[in-house]
Amino acid sequence: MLKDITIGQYYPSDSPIHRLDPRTKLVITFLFIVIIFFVRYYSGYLFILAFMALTIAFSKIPFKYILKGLKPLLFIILLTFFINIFFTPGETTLFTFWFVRVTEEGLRQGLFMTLRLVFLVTGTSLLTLTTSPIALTDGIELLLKPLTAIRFPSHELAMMMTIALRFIPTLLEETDKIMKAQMARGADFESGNLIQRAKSLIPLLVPLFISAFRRADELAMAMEARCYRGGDSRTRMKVLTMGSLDLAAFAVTAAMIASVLLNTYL
Amino acid sequence: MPVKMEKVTHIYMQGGPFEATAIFDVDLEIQDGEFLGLIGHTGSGKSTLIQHLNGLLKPTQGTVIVNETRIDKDSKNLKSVRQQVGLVFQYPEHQLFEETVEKDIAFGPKNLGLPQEEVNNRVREALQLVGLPFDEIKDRSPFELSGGQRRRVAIAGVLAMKPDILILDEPTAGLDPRGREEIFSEIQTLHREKKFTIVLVSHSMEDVARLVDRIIVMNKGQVALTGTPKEVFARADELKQMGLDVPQITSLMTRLRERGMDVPTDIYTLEQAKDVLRKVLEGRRHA
Amino acid sequence: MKPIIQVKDVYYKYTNQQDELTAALDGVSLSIHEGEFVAIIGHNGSGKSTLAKHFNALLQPASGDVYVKGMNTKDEEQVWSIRQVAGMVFQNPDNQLVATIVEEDVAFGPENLGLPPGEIRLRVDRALESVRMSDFAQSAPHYLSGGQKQRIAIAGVIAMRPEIIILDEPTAMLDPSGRKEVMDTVHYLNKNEGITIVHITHFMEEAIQADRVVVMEEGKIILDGPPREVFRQVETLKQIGLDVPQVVELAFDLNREGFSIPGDPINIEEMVNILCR
Repeated sequence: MLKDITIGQYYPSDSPIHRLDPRTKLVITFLFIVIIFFVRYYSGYLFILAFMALTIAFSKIPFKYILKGLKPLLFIILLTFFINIFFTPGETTLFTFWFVRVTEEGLRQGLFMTLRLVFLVTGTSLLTLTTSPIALTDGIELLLKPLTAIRFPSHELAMMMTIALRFIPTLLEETDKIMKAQMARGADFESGNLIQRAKSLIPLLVPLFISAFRRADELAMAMEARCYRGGDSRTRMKVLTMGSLDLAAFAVTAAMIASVLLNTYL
Repeated sequence: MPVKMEKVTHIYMQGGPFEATAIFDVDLEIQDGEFLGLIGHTGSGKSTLIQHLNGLLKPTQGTVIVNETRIDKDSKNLKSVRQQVGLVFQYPEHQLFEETVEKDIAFGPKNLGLPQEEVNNRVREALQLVGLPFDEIKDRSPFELSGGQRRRVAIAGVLAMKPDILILDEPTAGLDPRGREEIFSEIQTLHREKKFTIVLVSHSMEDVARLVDRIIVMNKGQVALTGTPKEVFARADELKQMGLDVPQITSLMTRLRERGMDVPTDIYTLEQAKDVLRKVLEGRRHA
Repeated sequence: MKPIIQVKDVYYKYTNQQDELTAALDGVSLSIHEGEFVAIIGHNGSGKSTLAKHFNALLQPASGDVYVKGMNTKDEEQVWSIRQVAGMVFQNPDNQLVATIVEEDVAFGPENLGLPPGEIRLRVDRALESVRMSDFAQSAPHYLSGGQKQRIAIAGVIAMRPEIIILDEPTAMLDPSGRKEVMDTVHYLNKNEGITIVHITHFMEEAIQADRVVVMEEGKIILDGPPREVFRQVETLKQIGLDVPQVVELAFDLNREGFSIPGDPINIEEMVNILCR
C-alpha cells in the first residue's frame, strides 16, 4: 500500500543524537557538507570517518539500516566512480581494456570522489534519520527567524512544510483510489508510447488536483476556526532549548573541522 | 452471467514488513439477476473482495471466474472483465475530470474503442438510466452540478460501459435522506426493469434489509454468514459479535419477544412489522 | 438558563454555481442556551451549514446579528474570542488535522492562542484524555480510523477550552462504529464537562438523542422543539425529504390506522413499554 511509504525515513529512538536540538543538527550538517569539500588528501578522510563513526555509534541506528539508505543511490555512486576513472588525464597506465585506458591517477581520483559522495549522502541522511520531520521543520523555522527582519516568511515556510508532510500520505492514498476508479472505466496507465502515457494521466491528475484544492480550502477554514492567524502571537508547546549536549556536539564538530583544515593546509 | 470465486486469498505486500491478509479462502457465487447485499464492518475485507470481481486486484491464491474468463495471480489484460463487471467506488464523483458531463461519461466507452456513434448512444442511455435529462445536462460541467447529481453522473460513467453486473460501494455515503432515496430508487429500477445483477455494499442494515434478495456477511476476511435477509437478521447475536447491527425493526421485535409478546423475530421491514402488530393489536381489541 | 448563542433575524445570500443569488438564510432567529444539546437537521442546501458557520464568525450575516456569549460576530475585534468560545468540528476528518503527530495537532489551537508551553502541554493531555485518545498521542493521523481522527479533531477544539462545540456533519463520512465513537464522545462532553453542543446531522437516530431538534428548510427554521415534538410531525418531515426513525414511523402509521399508540415513542424502549402495557 502506498501509505506505507515514509518520507525522510525517520528512525525513532531515544539516543543522544536524537535528543540534540534540531538547530544544532542542522548547523552541524551544514558545516559537515562544507568541510568535506576542504578535504584534499585521503588522510583527511580519516577525521571525517571518525566523526561519522562516532555519530552513528551514539545514534543507536543499526549500521545495516544506514547502508540500506545508500542502496537507491548505488547507481549514481558507481557512475561517479567510473566517470572519474575514465575522464581523469594521467600518465601511469595500469591497464588498457578495449579503448579504455585506466591510469593510476584516474583510479585515485575516482575513489576520492566516490568517498566524498558516500560521506555526503550518509552524513546528511543521518540528519533525517535522527530528526523527526516536525522537529526538523521547527528547527528550520527558528534558524530562519532572524531573516523575518528582511521579510523572509520563515513561519509560513515551516507551516507549508508541515502541511505538505501531513498530506502526502493522504494524497498518495487518494491517487491509488482514483487510479483504480479510472481503471474500472477501462483506463490504461501502462501501455502506449510516451505521449499516450502522458495523456492517460489526465484522468488521474485532474481529479487529484481538484481534490487537493478542495482539501486546501477546507483546511484553511478549519485552521481559521482554530484561531490561526499567522505566526506572530503564536507560541509552541515544545520549546527548543540548547543544553550541554549541544555544546558537546559543537565541540566535537569544531575539533573535526580543525583537524581537516590542518591536514589540508599544513 | 454468473461470477464465481474459488478459494480466493489476497495478501497485500506479500513478503514485506507490512504484509496483511485481506481475504482468506473465500468461496462465493453470484447468480444472474441477483440483488446481493455485502455487509461487514470496516476492515472485514469487503473492498478487497469487490475489487477481485472486476480484476482490479488479482488473487494471491485461488481463482475468480467471470463468465468464461478465469482470473488468477498471473492473468493479464482484464479489460473485458472490467467492462462486464462495473464497479462504482465510494464517493465516485471524485473521479470526474472532463469539462462536460457528456465527455466524462464517454470516457469508459471510448476506452473500449467503440465508434463515435455508439459512444453517443451509450452516453444518452446511461444518463437516462440514472434519471438525468440528457439535453439539459450534457454540456454542463460536472463540477457545477449538485452533490447528488454529480454522483449520478459518475454512476452513469460506469453504466456506459454496459456491464452485466453492477457493484456499488456505499453509493449513498455522505448524501442527505432525499439523495439517498433517489439513488436507491434508481438502483431498484436498474435491477427490476433493466435486469442488472447488483452487488450493494452498505453499512445501513435498514437499507440492505429492504432492498436485497441475499446477504453476504464478511468478517475478518472470510464469509461469515450468507442467506436471505430473513435468515441473516434472525442471527442478531452473531452479527453483534462481528460489530454489526440489525435493522431497528428487528431489534424492536426481539425486545418485544423478550418482554413476553408472541411475535416472530425474523421481521426486518416496516411493512412486516406493521402486519405483525396489527394482528396483535386487533387481537387485544377483541379480547 | 442563559442564551449563549443568539441569532436575530439573520439573512445571508450567496451566488450559486449558475451565478444566481440564492438566499441561504432567510430570516433566521434562534437562541441556544448554556448546556443544551441541539441537533440541526435539514437536507443539503437547507442552510444548516451556513447557519453553523455564523456561530463562530466564519461567516457574517448580510443583515441581522449573531451574538456569541454577548459578543457580536460582526465586531472584528471579538472574532478570535468568539472562535475560542465556539469551537468547530467539520465533516471530513482528513481535512482538518494540521500536524503529522496527534499531540502536535491538538496543540495547534492553544498555540494560536499564544498560551505558555506548560499550559499547552496540560491542556493537550487533558483534551486527549477526555476523548479517550491518550494512547495515540504520538501516532500519525493517517494511521487512525475515521472515528479516531474525528475524536482528535474534537480534542483539538477542547484544548482551546470552548463553551460551545459546533459539529458540522461530523459523522457523515464515518462507518457505524466510528459514528458511535463520535456520538459517545460528544454526549460525554455535554454531560460531564457542560459544553453546549450544536450538532448538524443527516442521521435521525443522532437527532433523537438531542435535547432539542431544529429543522431547516430553504433557509428557514420550520420546526424547533424537543425530539418527541418534532418527530411527531412525520408528514411534514417526509414532505421535505427527511427520514424518520423506523419506530416513529411504525407508531405513526398504526395510529393513523386507528390503533392506539399513545405518547409518541421515539426509541425502541419507549415503543416496547407502550406495546407491553
